[in-house]
Amino acid sequence: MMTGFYMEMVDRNIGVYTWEEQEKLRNSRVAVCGLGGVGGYEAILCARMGIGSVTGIDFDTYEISNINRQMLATTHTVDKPKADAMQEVLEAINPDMEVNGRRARVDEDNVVELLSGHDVVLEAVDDMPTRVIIHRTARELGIPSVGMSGSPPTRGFVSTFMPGGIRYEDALNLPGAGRKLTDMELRQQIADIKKKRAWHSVNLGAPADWAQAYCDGKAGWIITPVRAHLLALFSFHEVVQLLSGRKPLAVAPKGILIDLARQTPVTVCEAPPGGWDYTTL
Amino acid sequence: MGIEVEMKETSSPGQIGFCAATNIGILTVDEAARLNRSRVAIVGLGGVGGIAAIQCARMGIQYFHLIDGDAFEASNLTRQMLCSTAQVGRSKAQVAAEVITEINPGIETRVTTEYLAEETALELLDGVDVIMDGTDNLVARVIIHRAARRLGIPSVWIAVTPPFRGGVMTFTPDSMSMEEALSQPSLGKELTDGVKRELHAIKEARARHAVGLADEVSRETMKEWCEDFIAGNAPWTVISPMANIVGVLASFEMMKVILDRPQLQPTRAPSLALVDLSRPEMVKIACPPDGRWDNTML
Repeated sequence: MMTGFYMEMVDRNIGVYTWEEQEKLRNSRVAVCGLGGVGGYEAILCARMGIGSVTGIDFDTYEISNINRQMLATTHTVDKPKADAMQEVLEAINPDMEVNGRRARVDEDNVVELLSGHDVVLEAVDDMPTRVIIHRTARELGIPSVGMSGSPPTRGFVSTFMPGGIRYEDALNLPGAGRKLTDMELRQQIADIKKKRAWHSVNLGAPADWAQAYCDGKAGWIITPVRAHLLALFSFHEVVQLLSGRKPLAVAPKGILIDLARQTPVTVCEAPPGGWDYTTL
Repeated sequence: MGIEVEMKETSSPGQIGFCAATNIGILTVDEAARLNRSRVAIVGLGGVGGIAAIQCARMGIQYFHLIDGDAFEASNLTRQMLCSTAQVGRSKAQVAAEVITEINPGIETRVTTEYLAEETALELLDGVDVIMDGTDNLVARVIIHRAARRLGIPSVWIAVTPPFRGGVMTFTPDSMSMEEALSQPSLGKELTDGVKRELHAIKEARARHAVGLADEVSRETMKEWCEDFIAGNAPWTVISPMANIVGVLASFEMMKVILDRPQLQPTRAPSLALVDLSRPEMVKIACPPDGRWDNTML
């Protein structure tokens, strides 16, 4: 049942959403994989929207260089496990909700256990093989999953994968569709797509010395708060649409394309014939 | 999950402060230093102004004048990033200062815990590089953008409209003015009580217009809300993604004003970044068909 606090908290949602839809949100369980620039914000947004249960999964701790964009990273949470920081922040937003911080790195051996029992999975990890593992498993478990990807200088992509819909690997033209990534060669092949994405980003204005440093393992992926947060917000909106029983806007192979350098900075697009080329996303 | 940017070899840590160093790669070292030196004023620290303040802090801005006469309440929790249960009842401007200082202890803040008024606007808004209007009061908006123009300071305007619409626009001393670009009834007039009433009435017209645009799923609930809003029995309805998307885009406008890159100019009035999450073009830069916008339709 909705408590008085809960009803007061969600009051401004009503009008856009109905109380019945709000009740669906309250009864929903969301898993957020990755609590960095995108996932940390998504977890907070879920709590604020009045979603009843959030599981946040991340093995990492916050560091100073996370502060530029990660909503859960502050000088007080540096060196703290991301899952623990998430737990505290979400409980401070809505004491009535259930929060599960899981200190874990999602992989083939734990993914089923981590994702089972949720109504939707928000994928917010930066590692390509882990993305594949999450979306493939969500589909096998019959859970919709929302995926994202961001590239410098100003681009992003969001898409919603339904259990009966196109597979993540097929929509994005990834090798080894449906196969477990215990095959290390396949895993490396998928991981290396990110290097190609770095070089494609250079064509669009990212610095070439960064792409080289990234491919040599000397630099991380460039990501600014504006892009990370727009990815989180558009992914989150897909989740609210799904859980409230409305239609998500970008069911794969459709995608939401973000490019802040364009006249239409955010657009829902049909996939090009033959699917998306992940190198260019 | 470990997606930090470390181009430390191309940056000089002595030159740029906390936060901005991690944005290098998209920003040049000079640009990061410029953000560190810049001063911003944010009026209204609710759903839009709050996330904009956080964004600016994370991008490396280190001086903030935070202005809001309001205190947090439980219904702010759904979308206002500065609000948590412990902050309910506390001053929004004061909490904003605490939250951004926790992000970057090098930040200097000036906190004004009263609403901006016509008599105080020039003094309160002076001395910054960009002003953000995050208010939801249509009279306050006119006061803010008038003062900004007199002071020669760029100002960022926002709108959040149910169910899924919003807008962001920047006024600069050489762009069209706010009252002109939005066809405000106050244009060229003193803000008498009568003019203020005309300005407030725009919001009711916006609510009615919103019902007309609502899709089948939203129409009934929007209609009920609109009647309640006009009768004074319901607040403006705002959902979290909308407030936050508009706030993030507004903070990007502030950044564009400060960086002033030739290829990355702010969305200068009457150009407007229009948000509508129910359309394929979820965000697009648009120009008014007749040269000016009708505020009741935004």
